[in-house]
Amino acid sequence: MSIHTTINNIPAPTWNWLKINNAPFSYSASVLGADSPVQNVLPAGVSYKADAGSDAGTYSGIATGVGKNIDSLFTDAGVRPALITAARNTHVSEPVCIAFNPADGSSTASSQIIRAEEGSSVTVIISYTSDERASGFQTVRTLCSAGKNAFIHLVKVQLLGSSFTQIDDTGTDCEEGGRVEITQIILGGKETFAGVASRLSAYQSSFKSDTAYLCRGSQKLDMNYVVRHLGKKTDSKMIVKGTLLDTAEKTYRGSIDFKNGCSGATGNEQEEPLLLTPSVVNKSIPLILCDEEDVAGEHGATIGRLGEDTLFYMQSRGISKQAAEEIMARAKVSSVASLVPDETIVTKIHNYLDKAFAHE
Amino acid sequence: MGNALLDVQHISVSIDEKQVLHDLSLQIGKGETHVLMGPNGAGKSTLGYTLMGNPAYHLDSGTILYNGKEITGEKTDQRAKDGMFLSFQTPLEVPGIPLETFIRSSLQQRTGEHIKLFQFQKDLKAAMQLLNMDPSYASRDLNVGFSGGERKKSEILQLLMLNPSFAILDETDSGLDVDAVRTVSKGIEEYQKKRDGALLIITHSTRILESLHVDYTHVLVKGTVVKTGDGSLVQDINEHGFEQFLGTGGGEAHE
Amino acid sequence: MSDTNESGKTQVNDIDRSMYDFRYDEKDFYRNDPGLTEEIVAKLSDDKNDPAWMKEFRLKSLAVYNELKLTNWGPDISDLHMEHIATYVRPNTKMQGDWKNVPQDIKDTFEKLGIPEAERTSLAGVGAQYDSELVYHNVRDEVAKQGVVYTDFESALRGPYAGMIQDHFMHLVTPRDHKFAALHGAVWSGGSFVYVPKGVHLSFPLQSYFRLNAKGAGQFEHTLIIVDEGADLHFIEGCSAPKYNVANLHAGCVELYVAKNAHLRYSTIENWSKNMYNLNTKRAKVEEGGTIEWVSGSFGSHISYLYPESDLVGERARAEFTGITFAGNGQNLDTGAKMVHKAPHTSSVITTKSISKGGGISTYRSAVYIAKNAAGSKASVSCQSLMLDSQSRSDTIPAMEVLTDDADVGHEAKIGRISNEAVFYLMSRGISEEEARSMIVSGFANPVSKELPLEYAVEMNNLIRLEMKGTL
Repeated sequence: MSIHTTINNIPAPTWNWLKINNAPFSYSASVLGADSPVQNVLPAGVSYKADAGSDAGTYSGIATGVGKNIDSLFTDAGVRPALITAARNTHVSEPVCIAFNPADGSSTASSQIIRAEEGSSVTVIISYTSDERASGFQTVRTLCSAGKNAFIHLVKVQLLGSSFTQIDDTGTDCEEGGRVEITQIILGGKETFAGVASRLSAYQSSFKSDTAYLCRGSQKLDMNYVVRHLGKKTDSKMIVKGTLLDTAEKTYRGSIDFKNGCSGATGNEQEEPLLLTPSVVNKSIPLILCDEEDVAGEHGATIGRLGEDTLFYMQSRGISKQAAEEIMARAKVSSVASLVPDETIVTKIHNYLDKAFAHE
Repeated sequence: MGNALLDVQHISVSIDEKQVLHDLSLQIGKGETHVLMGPNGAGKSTLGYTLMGNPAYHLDSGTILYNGKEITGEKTDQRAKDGMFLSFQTPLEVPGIPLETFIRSSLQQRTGEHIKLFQFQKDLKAAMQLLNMDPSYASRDLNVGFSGGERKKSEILQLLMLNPSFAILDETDSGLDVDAVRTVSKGIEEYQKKRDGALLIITHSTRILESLHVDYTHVLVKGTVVKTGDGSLVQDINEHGFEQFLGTGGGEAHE
Repeated sequence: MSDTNESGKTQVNDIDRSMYDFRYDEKDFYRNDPGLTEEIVAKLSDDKNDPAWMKEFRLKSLAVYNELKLTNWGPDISDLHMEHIATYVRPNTKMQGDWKNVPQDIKDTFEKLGIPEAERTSLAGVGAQYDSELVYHNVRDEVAKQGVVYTDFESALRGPYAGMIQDHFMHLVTPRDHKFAALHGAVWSGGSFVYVPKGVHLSFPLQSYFRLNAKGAGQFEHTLIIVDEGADLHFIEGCSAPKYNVANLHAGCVELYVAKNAHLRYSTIENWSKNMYNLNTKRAKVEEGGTIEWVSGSFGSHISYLYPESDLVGERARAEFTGITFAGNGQNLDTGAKMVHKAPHTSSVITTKSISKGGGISTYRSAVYIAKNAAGSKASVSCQSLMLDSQSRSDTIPAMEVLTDDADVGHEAKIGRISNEAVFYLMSRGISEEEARSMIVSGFANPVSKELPLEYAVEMNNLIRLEMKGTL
C-alpha cells in the first residue's frame, strides 16, 4: 500500500512559503496491524478488550490531531482497536500500562480506545521502546472518551531508536464535567509526527496537555495540537517545552478554537523551545481562533537560548555554560516526567537522558 | 440613627447562584462612620459591590434606599452620581487612560459641569501631596504598573477629588506597609473632616482605624450581621478575635 | 470639527462618518474599459507616455498576473470581478502645484478632508491623488532646497531620477510575489517618489492622500521612498473613498529603502469605504543601523489583505510595527506584519490591537523569520484582540521560523472581551456604561494612537467613538 498525503493540518492555513500549514507524508511499504499489549495485571475496575469490535463505532467520530488522511493506514492494515474501559464511579488506583516494543524492520499500526464511564478516573500509560539502532515505522492512534465527571490521564512516552519513524495520533472527547489530561514525552525516533485533538463540547469539560521533547542529531519532530471549545465554561491548557540540538528540526502548531456559544471558556497555551546549536530549525505557530465574545484566550512563546540572567546565576555557582544547558534541557523533560505515575518508566526516561548527554 | 442616608432593608444577595448575604439590614446616617468586620469569606466585599450595583451580584430580595430614594434597580453610574463611592480592594488597571484624565472625567460626570482646569489641577496637586504620591502618577495610565500601595492611594485620591456623600472602603489597608497605612488613614481622615459624608469601612484588620473616629461597628459572619456595637467593639475584636462570633452565621462562606 | 480648551488640548466633538461619503460626477474624466487585456494595458501605458521599459514591464506583469493563482488562505475575494473594474480613471486636469488651479470640486474634496489646511500648518509637502492621477503636489521651498525630492511618479520617470527609479521600481515587491502585486505592476498609476539626501532631517512630515472617487474603479498608486544614509523622514499616507454598492479595488504598492543609519516612520490611517477591496503590498528594506517604524490604523474596507514587511538586511537594522484594526459589520480585515531578519543583531517589535464588532471579522496574521546568519537578533510580538460581541470573529495566526540558536524570540497574544470589572469600575465613578465601554476601547487603542500625529489620533478616537455608539 502506498500513501502520499499531508498530515498534522493546521485549522487555519497561512503563507505557503513558511511551509508550516501541514507536514507532507509518504509511505509505501506494507503496514501490519498490531495489538496493544498490556504490561501489567489489569487493575480493579478496568476491563480490557483486545478487539473493541462493534463498540469501536461509538467512538469513530472523535477527531484526532494527525487527522483523517492517515485513516487508510489503519484500515489497510486491518487494525482492530483495543478497548479499555473504567467502570462507573470507579477510581482506578493503578495505571494501565501498555508497552510497545517494535522490532527492527517492523512496520506496524495499532489503535486503542480508552473510555472512562461516568464518575470514574483512570490512568493509561503507553510507552514505545526499541533497540537503539532499530529502524522501522509505527503508527498509533488513541481515542479517549471521558464520561460525565470522569477523568482520563493518558501518558505517552516515546523512547524509540534513532532510525524509527512514528506517527502518534490522539483524539479526545468529554461529556459534562469530563476531563482529559495528556502527558507526552518524545525523546527518540528519527522522525515523529505527534497530533492531539481535543473536543470540549460539554459544559465544564476540560483538557490539559504537557509535552516535553529532546531533539538531537538530525531528529525531526512535527506536532499539531488543537483544542476546540464548544461547551460553556470549558477550560484548556497546553504546555509544550523542549530542547533542540545539532541539526534537529521541530514544528509546533498549537490551536485554541473558541466556537460560537462557548461562553465562559478559557484557553491557554505556552511554548518554550530551547535552541542550543546554530543549525537547528524551529517553527512555531500558536493560533487562537475566536467566534465567541465571552472567553479569555492567551498564548505565549519564548524561543531561544538560555537566558543571560539564568546563565550568569548558574555560572556564579560554578556551573559551566555547557553544563547549564544540559541541566535546563533535562529539567524541561523531567518537569513533565514528574507527571508520569510509574517509577519504571520515569527511570527509563532518565536513563535515556543520561545516555543522550553522555555522547555530547 | 436619625435620618438614614443609606437604608438597607432585608437584602439577600447571590453570586453564581449561590446565596452569600442573608436577610441583611443596615442603616447609616449622614456623617457617620461605620466599620464592617468579619472573618474571610463572610461576604464583606459582596456587600460593598451590592451597594454599588455590580451586575454580577444578584439581589434575591430586599430593598436599598439612598437619601430616601429607592436605588435597588439603579445602575452603578447613577448611584455614583447620587453620591456613592466605592474604593476597591484590588483596583483594576485600565490601560490607555491617564489617572488625571480619569478623575477629571469622573468629576465632570458627577457634577455635569465643565471643570475649571486650573482649580482642578491645584486640588489634584494638593491631594496628591497629602497622600505622598509622586506628581508623575497623574500622567501615568490608571493603575498600570502601580504597586498595591500606590493603587490604594490612587483610590483614596479619587475619594478626595470626587468628594462623595457616602464612601465604601473595601479592605483599603490590605497589602500596605506601616507608612502607607498611615498615609491612607490620613487621607480618610481628611475626607471625614472636609465633608459631612458617611463612611462604611470594610476591613478584617484594625490598623487603619487607629486614628479614625468610629460610630458603629458591625460583625459579619457567613453573610449575616451577628453583632452591632459602637467603636469599642473594634478594640474587643482586636483583643479576642472573631472566635466568639463564629458558629452564629447563616450560610456558606464566600467573599 | 474640533475646538481647544484651556490646556491647549483638542476637545473632541462627534464626527459624522458621512464626511467621507461624498462624491462628485466624473465630468470629462477619461476612464478606460473595465477588465484586463493586453490592449487595455498597452493603451494605458501609451496614455501615460511611459518610457519603453515601463510598457514592457507592464505587459510582463500582466502575464504573471494571469499565471498566478489566488491564495488558499485569507478572506474570500471571489466577489471581486476584475472584468468590472476600471483600472484607470483620469480626472480632467493636469497636476497642479497650487490649490488655486485645481478644479473646484476636486479641491473641495480635499478641503473637506482637511488636507490643504494641514499642509499650511504642519506638513513639509503634500501629494494628493484623485482616482488614478495626482492632482496636486507641492513641497515647501526650504525642504526642496535641502535637496529633498518629492514628486509624482510620472514626472520622476522622465526626470533626473529616472535611472534611480528604474533601478528600484518593483525590485523590493516584485510582480511574482502574489497575484495583486502582478496586477499592480501592470496597471499602476499615480503615487509619489521621495528621495531624502544623506544626513537630511525633515522637521515636518510629507503626506500623500489618496482619494478614490470613481465608482467601480481601482486605485493602484505606487509609492517609492529612498531615505539615504543618516537621513530622517516621517511620511504619512491617508486614504478614503465614498461608499458605493459596487466593488472598488485598491492594489497599491509601497517600497521603502532605508539606508545605513537612516530613519523612516511610515504612518497610515486607512479609512476606505466598506465596498473597497484593499489588497495592498508594503515592504521596507533596512540597511545597517537603519530603522523603519510603521504605524497603521485600519478602519475601512470591505476586505483587506495588508501585511507590511520589513527586510532587515544590515547589521543592527531595526523595525517596529504598531497597528490597530477595527472590523465592523460587513468587514473582513486580514492584517498583520512580516519581519525578516537577514543580518546579525537585528531587532523587531510588533504591537497590534484588534477589535471586532457587529459581525466583523478581524484576523491578525504575522510571520517572524530569523535566518541562519541573523545571530544576536531579537524579535517580539504582542497582539491583543478585543471581541465586542458574539457575532464577530477574531483570529490570531502568528508564525515564527527560527534558524539559529542565537536569537531571542518572544511572543504573546491575548483575546477577550471588555472586562465587566473594568466597566463596573468606571461606572462606579459616575461614567455611563456606553461611555465606559468607549473609554476602554480607546484606552485599548492607545499604544497606536499615541504614535500618530495629533490630528490623526483625534480622528482615530473619533472613529472608535463612532463605531462604539449604539453597541449596547
